Amino acid sequence: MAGSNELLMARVQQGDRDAFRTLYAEWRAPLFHFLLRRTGSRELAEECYQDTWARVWKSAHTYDPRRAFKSWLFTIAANVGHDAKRPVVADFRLETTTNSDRVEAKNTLVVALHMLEGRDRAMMLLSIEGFKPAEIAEAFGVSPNSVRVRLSRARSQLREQLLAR
Amino acid sequence: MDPSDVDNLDELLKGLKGDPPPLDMGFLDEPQDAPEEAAPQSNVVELSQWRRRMWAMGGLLAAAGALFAIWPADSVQPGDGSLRVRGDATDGPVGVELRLMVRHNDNLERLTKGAAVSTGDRVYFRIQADRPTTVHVWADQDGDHTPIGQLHARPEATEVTGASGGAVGWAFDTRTSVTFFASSAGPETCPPDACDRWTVDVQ
Repeated sequence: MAGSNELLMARVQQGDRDAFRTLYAEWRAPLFHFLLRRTGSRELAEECYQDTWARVWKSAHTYDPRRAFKSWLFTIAANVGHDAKRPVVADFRLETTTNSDRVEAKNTLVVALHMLEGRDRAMMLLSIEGFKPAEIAEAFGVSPNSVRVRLSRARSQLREQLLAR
Repeated sequence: MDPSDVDNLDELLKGLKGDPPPLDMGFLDEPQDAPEEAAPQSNVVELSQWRRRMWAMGGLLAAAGALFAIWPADSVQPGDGSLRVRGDATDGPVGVELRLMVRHNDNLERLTKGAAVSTGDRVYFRIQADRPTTVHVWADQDGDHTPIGQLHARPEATEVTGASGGAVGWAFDTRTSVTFFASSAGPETCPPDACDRWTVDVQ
């Protein structure tokens, strides 16, 4: 049975702007956090964020109501901006905090994350968003096994990078 | 970084957040894309004929291209009777681009050429090459050469991870001037067409 997001998306397919705004209000923060981690750049994340939501509206007809809205949304977000071929630089400003150790750890994490190959990074970020290997495989057009291998490799590379600092 | 933090990788990553920007919803005033409709049968036949013609033309072009590629590069063939490959992409120096990111206070920013950094700052390296190749990265400070690492560079930007060389960044402890090099021509060799360099003044 379709959930509320899927029903809202079905209304968006009919051109319902209020349904779009409701979906946007619910998913704006998780989507932006994902894009921020994926791009490592606030400026680039903002561009991808705008582009993702525009595609949700413009390409609503490509959504299959049998599919979870979240999967469709994050698949767009995982692929948007890939054609831009712009360098990714970890330059987004971190949350303000008085704990300098925490800031240091986050800076280290951002740099280490961006030493991963782009697709590995996107897959890992989808994985921590709760996506199963089969769902990630569908988003990237590869086999679930390939996703598991990449996830395992990405995690171990990231750990190595973090422990080396 | 504390190993216990690294064990909790997912939580660390989830901690990377920021406030979403306001969305420009101007696109809501634009019409949504319409689903593509199936082409009429007559068009399908025409398309399939067109595709066959294109395949045939593609085959001819590919054959011509292959003939061109193996055609002797000069009017006289090499003495050993072998054929040269014209325009071999592996010939010649491989252009390299070196970029630096600087961590200043709590922020990571791209460093612009000529910009100064402060003591306590740290830089990280990103490399791009015209085509896949091995690139050596090193630093020169007061005549001392310090290898930073070597990596397999690609046309896509690659971070220097220190996989071979140990270092991933460079911390500035004193006021000085350091020049960083990235070269596809070998360690401590910096020809202009295969090497990029940055001089960083520390203030």
